[in-house]
Amino acid sequence: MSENVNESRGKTLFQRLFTELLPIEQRALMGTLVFIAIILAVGWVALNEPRRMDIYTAQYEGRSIQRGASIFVTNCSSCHGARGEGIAGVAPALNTPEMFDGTHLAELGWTGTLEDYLLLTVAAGRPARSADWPNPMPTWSQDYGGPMRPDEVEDVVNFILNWGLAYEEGYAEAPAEEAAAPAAPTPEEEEAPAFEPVGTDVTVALPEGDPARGEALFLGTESAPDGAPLGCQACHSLDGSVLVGPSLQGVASRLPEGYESIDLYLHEAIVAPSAYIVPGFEGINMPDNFGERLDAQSLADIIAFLKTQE
Amino acid sequence: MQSNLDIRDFPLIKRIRESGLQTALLETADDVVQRVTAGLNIADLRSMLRGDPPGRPNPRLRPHADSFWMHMRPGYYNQAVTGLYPTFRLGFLSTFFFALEGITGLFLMVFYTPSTEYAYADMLNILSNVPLGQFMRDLHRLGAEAMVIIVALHMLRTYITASYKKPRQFTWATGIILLIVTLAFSYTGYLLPWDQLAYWAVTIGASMAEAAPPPVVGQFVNILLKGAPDLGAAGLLRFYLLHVFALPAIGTIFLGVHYYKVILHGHSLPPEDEKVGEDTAKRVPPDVRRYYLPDIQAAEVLWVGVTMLALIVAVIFFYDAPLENHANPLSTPLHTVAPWYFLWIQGLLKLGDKTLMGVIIPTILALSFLVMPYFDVGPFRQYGKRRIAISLSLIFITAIVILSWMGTPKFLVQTSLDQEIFFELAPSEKVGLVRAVPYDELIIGAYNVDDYETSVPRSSGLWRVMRRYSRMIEHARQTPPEQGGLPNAEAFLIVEQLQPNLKGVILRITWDDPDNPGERLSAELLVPVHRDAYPLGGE
Ligand code: HEC
Ligand code: HEC
Ligand code: HEM
Repeated sequence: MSENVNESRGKTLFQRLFTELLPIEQRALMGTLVFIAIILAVGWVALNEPRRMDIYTAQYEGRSIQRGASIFVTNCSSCHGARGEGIAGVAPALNTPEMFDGTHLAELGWTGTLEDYLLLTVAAGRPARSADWPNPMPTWSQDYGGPMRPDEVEDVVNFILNWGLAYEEGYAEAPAEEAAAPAAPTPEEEEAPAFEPVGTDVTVALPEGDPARGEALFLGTESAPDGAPLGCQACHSLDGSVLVGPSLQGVASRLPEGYESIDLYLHEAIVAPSAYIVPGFEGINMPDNFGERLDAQSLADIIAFLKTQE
Repeated sequence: MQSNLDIRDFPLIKRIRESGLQTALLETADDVVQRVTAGLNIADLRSMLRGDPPGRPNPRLRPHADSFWMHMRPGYYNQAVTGLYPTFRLGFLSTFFFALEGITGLFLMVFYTPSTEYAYADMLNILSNVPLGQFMRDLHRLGAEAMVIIVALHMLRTYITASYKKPRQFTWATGIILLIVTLAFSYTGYLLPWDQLAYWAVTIGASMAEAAPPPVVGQFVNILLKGAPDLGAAGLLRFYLLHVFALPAIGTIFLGVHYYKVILHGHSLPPEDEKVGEDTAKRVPPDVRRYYLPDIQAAEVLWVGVTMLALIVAVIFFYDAPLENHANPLSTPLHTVAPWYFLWIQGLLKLGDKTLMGVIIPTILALSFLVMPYFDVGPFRQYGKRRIAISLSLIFITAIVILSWMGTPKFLVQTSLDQEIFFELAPSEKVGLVRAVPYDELIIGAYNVDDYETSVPRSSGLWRVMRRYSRMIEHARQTPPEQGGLPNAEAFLIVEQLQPNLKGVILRITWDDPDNPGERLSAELLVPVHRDAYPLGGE
């Protein structure tokens, strides 16, 4: 090491680092300190793991509920209501106390957990129309031919389960804050005028349609006159793949026999879907309440949009 | 009964009987140390640590003959290459990262299944349920990104010091293969979490395979890589097998060749120490020898320690490997970008057609790098004599940086401003401004961008969101409709209570339809925010 020391004379520390090795004692000391620091750091991480994993799990569940909320708005609220309150004559409420206190499951004779009941119902839907409802609950999971991935089914179920929290003791967030809602009218109230439903009569004349708005309505990027998205794209793709209903790719050029014009056929297919059932979709129903949810202009827009699907 | 196993024949017992307990134990310890170090005894180790000069013949050369790992390393280096300069330890660090990725990767492999059904759930499990899972994942991911940088810098330094010149042309060529392997490692690994980030970044890149000319070849390569026309289960499995089997195998082989060549030719001396056209790396005069043991090895151990510590500190305080939502082939997030080390290709793609910019140019580039040392045969290594070569490298780096910038969404991407505004406030795959507001500061109500100053308390995180929102709306009102502007835009932010612990933030913009006077267009986005979803208000 002695030559090393001689050479080092007159050099700054930086120059020395740059061109030669530091004396081994110094490096041994630094190395020891560094390795002690590593052991301490990893030990610290390890000690914090249980807490970190708990936070991560809670965070993940929170995000799952968030995603579930978005899924619910696009796919479920058209039948179950914007807040799961149900729509008379379409689908039952999902946010009732009975759903969470076991009464409902007991009535059905279900002995498993609520979570499993929900997962199964949403994933598989109901095989047939029950006496109470005009249309059965559609199938949602890809496992059974529906449009959703299994993890999305879990997300929306987590979202439904989260309503149950409101009935648990000591929970008081929602009412208190809602009471504090500001006086300013929400733009929804301002801008969603009462509208005149077009009804199920296919002979009414429709105004000129705007395909762009029709597309927005179809995709749900614009809400229907009643304030909720229509959810057509939940059941219909535009690229040939079959979700719940037939793909609407090319629908404009496949007029079934017995119809005079494509306009009339589409009009009927939307407001009175059970009048003609697309072969292969017998027993699967399209909601038949669109006549009440659409005004004449919106219906015309959707038809104009569908006519572009050649 | 006479046993032929006599305890008195055991070496340790024999020694104790012959020379007493203390000496016997010391001698045995010495034996053990000598075996473990393949040739060095305790006295040798102590003299090394004290910094004594070696004896003659140098006992510290023994392990280089007897130990497998040590026989790969040279017995001594030239003093001139042992400082930070000229290698900057970059080759060594590249090797370190290769090993680190192997070890952390093995850990992750234990918990990972390469199927579209389980991959994402396995990632969640690693993060929420495996002790040190997040730590290992962060190390693996940060290590991968650092490795790309380190390998590139290593390449740059061998270029700048002209170490690729005769006789080291082949070392350089194998280096290029290692660079490609490194990039391929990062890229195939990128897909494995099977989240939106992975899916779309890799889709952008993999679509390049399809563009390889002629079309038959493109289709074939595409199918070979993805197993199907689109990225799906088969593609994930193939990427996984490349990542954990093929690339490690290729990488190990080429690293072996690469390092063998380095030793064979010796580390090139700093250019200014060599006469033009000479290469004296292999002739190390005795007075400038630095023995591997202990000097070089101690340096290497220290470097491993310091780098490791830096990575660990970064992982604890600054870095979290991203995990977005589950991959969804049906929904492309706005502004998907390639991983940063491929942004330059994305930049090139904006300049021209996919086949030329995405396939032909990168291939030509790789090939010319591969053969460069066989064409650049000038004898000069001195910096002063390589002004053109060094300028070229600076121009090249500048070009890569500019192209990378062009690859980002900041350059030449046209989307309508309403979507841009939504993206800025609440991107589908990132946290964004709205979700970063603490849950309790999201006050239920409807707010107009034009009077938020009076309706939103300044103390609420919402205020900052509204300020940004209102500035963007103002900008959109000024922008002409042909450029995505929103004439007479009106914009609201509405906070409502959706469920216990769940608020919904609705962003709603309406504006004049430029094509139909008198009509209004509108766009709306619902952003659900759960109390627990963003514990730190951010990632
Ligand atoms: C076409 C309208 C329709 C849509 C869309 C729809 N449902 Fe239903 N759903 C129903 C009907 C009708 C029932 C009652 C079925 C029965 O009892 O036979 C039902 C029942 C249910 C039930 C069981 C309720 C109970 O009281 O047992 C759940 C849970 C449910 N739906 C969840 C969902 C979710 C989640 C979605 C969105 C992914 C959804 N539904 C979308 C019509 C719909
Ligand atoms: C709950 C799922 C569901 C929703 C939501 C839904 N549909 Fe349907 N749709 C179906 C099914 C199932 C069929 C096939 C059975 C039939 O013909 O009634 C169908 C058939 C159709 C057809 C005839 C297709 C053909 O190939 O001839 C049209 C057109 C159509 N739907 C339009 C719409 C529009 C527009 C909306 C939104 C306003 C909508 N659907 C919403 C399920 C749905
Ligand atoms: C995984 C990637 C790589 C690893 C692990 C690696 C490893 C090494 C090591 C350990 C050395 C000796 C120490 C040093 O010079 O720093 C070395 C030298 C060298 N490497 Fe690499 N290398 C890699 C990539 C590359 C690349 C991309 C290039 C250039 C294209 C390259 C070119 C060279 C050359 C020319 C030398 C000889 C340097 C000299 O003798 O001065 N290597 N490499």
